[in-house]
Amino acid sequence: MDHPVLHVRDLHVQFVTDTGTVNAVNGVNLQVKRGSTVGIVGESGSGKSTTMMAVMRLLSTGARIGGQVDFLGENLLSLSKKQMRKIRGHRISMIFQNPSTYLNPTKTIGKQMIEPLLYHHLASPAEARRRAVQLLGDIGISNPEKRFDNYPFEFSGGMLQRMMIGMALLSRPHLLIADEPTTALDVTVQAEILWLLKKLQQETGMAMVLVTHDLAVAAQVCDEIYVMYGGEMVEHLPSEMLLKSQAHPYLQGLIQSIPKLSGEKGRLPYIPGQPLGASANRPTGCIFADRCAYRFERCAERPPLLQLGERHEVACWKAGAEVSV
Amino acid sequence: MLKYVVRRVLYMVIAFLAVSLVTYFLMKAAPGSFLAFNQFLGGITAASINLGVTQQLMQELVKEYHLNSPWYVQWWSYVWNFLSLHMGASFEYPNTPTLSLIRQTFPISVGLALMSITVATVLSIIAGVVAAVRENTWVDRGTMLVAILGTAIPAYVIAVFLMLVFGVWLHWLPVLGFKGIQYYVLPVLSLALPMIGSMGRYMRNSLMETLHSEYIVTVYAKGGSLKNVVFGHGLRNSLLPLITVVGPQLASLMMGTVFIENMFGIPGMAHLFTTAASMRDYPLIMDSTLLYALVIMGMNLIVDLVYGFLDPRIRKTGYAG
Amino acid sequence: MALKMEELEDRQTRTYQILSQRRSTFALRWFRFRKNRLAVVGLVLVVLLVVAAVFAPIVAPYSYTKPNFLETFKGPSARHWFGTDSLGRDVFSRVIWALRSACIVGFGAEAVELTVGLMIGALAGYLGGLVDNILMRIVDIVYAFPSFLFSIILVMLLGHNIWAILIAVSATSWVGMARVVRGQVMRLKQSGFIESARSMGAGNWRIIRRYLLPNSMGPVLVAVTFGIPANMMTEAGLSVVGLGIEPPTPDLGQMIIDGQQAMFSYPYLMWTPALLFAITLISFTFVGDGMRDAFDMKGKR
Ligand SMILES: Nc1ncnc2c1ncn2[C@@H]1O[C@H](COP(=O)(O)OP(=O)(O)OP(=O)(O)O)[C@@H](O)[C@H]1O
Ligand SMILES: [Mg+2]
Repeated sequence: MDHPVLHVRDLHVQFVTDTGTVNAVNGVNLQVKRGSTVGIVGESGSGKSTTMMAVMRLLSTGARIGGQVDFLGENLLSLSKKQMRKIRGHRISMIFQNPSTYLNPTKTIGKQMIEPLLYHHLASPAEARRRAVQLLGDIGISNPEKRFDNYPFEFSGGMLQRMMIGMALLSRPHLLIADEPTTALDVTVQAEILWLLKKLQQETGMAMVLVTHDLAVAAQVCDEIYVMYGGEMVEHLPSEMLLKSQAHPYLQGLIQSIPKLSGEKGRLPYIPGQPLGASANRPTGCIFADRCAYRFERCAERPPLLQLGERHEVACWKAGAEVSV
Repeated sequence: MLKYVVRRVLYMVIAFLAVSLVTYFLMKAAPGSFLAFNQFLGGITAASINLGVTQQLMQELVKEYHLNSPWYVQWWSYVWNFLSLHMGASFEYPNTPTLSLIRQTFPISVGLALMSITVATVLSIIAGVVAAVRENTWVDRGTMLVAILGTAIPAYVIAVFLMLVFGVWLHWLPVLGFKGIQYYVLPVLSLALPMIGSMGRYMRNSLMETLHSEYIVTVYAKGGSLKNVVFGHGLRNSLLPLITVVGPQLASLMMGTVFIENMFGIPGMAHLFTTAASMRDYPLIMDSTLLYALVIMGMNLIVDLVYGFLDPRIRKTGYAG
Repeated sequence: MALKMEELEDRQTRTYQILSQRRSTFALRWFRFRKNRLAVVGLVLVVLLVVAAVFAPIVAPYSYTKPNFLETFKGPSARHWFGTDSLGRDVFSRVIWALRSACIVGFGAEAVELTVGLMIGALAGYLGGLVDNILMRIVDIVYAFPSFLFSIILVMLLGHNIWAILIAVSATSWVGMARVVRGQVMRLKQSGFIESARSMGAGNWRIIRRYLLPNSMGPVLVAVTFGIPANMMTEAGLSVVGLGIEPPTPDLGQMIIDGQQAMFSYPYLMWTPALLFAITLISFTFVGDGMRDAFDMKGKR
């Protein structure tokens, strides 16, 4: 119970490019407990995908990674390439935003689906096929026997994502990382996919990290939520507190900018200013200060993560002050 | 798909007829040509001792090539004889039908071409994979520089250096004749090396593109190794377009055999053709030109069809995308 | 003309800008070319070789025909850099003269190709419709020809002098150029550039000459740079199969074949012409590569 499945400590990622160094992730801490679902939210470019790719060690060779990624008590960053391969697709699986570009267009669905089992020698090709067909049926693909030999272009986006989920779960991983699994899909399909993910998670008891733009989804599906800004975690809170007790002005801004169906037809609220660019020089003070309406003198100094309550932390002087006063 | 094939074949027929027409008229216009055919027969008459046989032979040749008929009959008789495999006597060897000359020499040329293509494909794949996997290292740059040099130099210049190194200096391989497997090595290499330039470069670029695509991230995320990535995913996607590069190469490869057969003294079809050309043996020239045209067009058609068949998007829906 | 007045003015200024930018685009292209080091080396070599070919009568130290039976098969030395051949002729002088033949056919045939290709390509692309259709069908058919065999037949028909060979070499290769030009013209046609020129009162020929040709230069120049060595290969290839320029005019292909006769005893007779030829072809290829960089056409073959 006490051992988290995944414990990311002080993760840093830099990309060295021709045009300079990009500080994509700057000291991220993150815990995923057994069987729980953790949501990661934040604007585009805040470093969500980079963090997850760093956990999987899938970043290109130009990336410099620092910190510690403990998975079941083992630091993934110190494993050899070969040891790391044994974890990917077996202990940790990952699914991506756009299933149609993340699948090989010239290989059948089935052949791609059983690859995790074959790579890790978890089943013979025939056995793998049997299990994959059964799973395809379980996750709502009709006529799975025939569909198994289809090519990706013969599947709809929703079906592809179902298949990707099936592929990720075939090897019964301890952790599933889903990077915006529904963003590229139709609104109607989004809910189905999320429901499927949640159902499968309950059945298998695995832990899950869900990266999303959608705060409403995060609130519904996740147990805990981490909020990223400029490559840092600025707030961590239980999902039931997301809509009522959010503390960081950035998160407040995000929540306000959710368009409400019933709301008045005014201008859409948004967070003024530019998101902190990953290649810009990082400020010495609070990274959100430039865009923050509540800025005061103290903000020239970098706020640490302040404990607001059980499982609730925030990196903001104002929020911290309100609690302690 | 069927409609496409029919259209392509129809197109091929038209191009084939055009090639035959142009060749026919060129030969008619050439000095000492059909119109002067009687002079040619006169030559035989003079040289021949047995007048009776020659008279008979003359009549046979005149009849066979419809030399007293209008041009379109003559032309068509050529084409028809060619197509119905009744290729008649060559001028140079009146007693041997061109068909049997071609039958003796054509397999040699085709064999040479096929071997070269196989060697070129295998070597290009190896070079392309090595370069792509070692992207932007000196291995990559060196391989690609050699590839560019190969493309820039024709087979007959490469043959010179291969002959000198392996034949003259090292004495490893024979440089002339055609008596056994070792006689194939240098000709095949000479033909293959220029192809490796463009094929290898293409292979590298397309494999590199594949290796940088998003679905390769998925393969790694599944626990795949570089080997799985290259052989399970990268190659199959790059091999497919490689076929389109091989296609146009085939024509220049067939032409390459013309030089190589002459330089290495290989008794192939190309050798036959150049001999025919220097002897002005019109029936033989006509037939071999038509055969080459047919082979080149046929190979291009096959390449396109194979490409269509291998790409599941085209195979299953009939069109790409 | 459904063009609005402002739109018209806008296009006129754009046209003007494009024309006045010509100088600075040249500088940019030169800059890009220079960044490709192999291309620069290639260019230097090409210039050297072409100058040597043009001034062959001055550069070549000896006659290329006059035999000297006292000095046959002399290996390379200070007096005869590349040695002497079976008739005692100076190989270096012969190679230089052979280079001259190669250049005459290489550049000459390219000029023919360029003229024919430009005319047909520009007409097809510019007029479009039926004319385009007919011309392009012809191009397709010529493409299907076994081009080298066709050159052989043509040489047979026209004789073995250098002009006949020039024609034979260019007879089938103009189609590639026609395709390139047509593609460029079609591209420009769609850009609206022509409409604006026409609205300024320019006639068809004038538009082709003044606007289309200068603006489709890049790919055409690249095709020319790769076309010249290709022509040289065909020219020498004809000699390799014994159907090229008639001796005693020196020819690289002929020299290679002659050298082959004696390659075990006098290998230099074979490798010197082959090496010079290889260097020539490679230099052109490097320059072509640099041109592609200069016109920013990498990967667009
Ligand atoms: N390979 C790379 N090289 C250079 N910079 C990169 C690379 N990958 C990501 N970045 C930069 O790192 C920052 C974080 O990117 P990341 O993709 O992690 O954001 P994200 O939160 O996932 O955004 P989104 O919601 O759009 O997916 C961005 O500024 C991005 O430009
Ligand atoms: Mg992302």
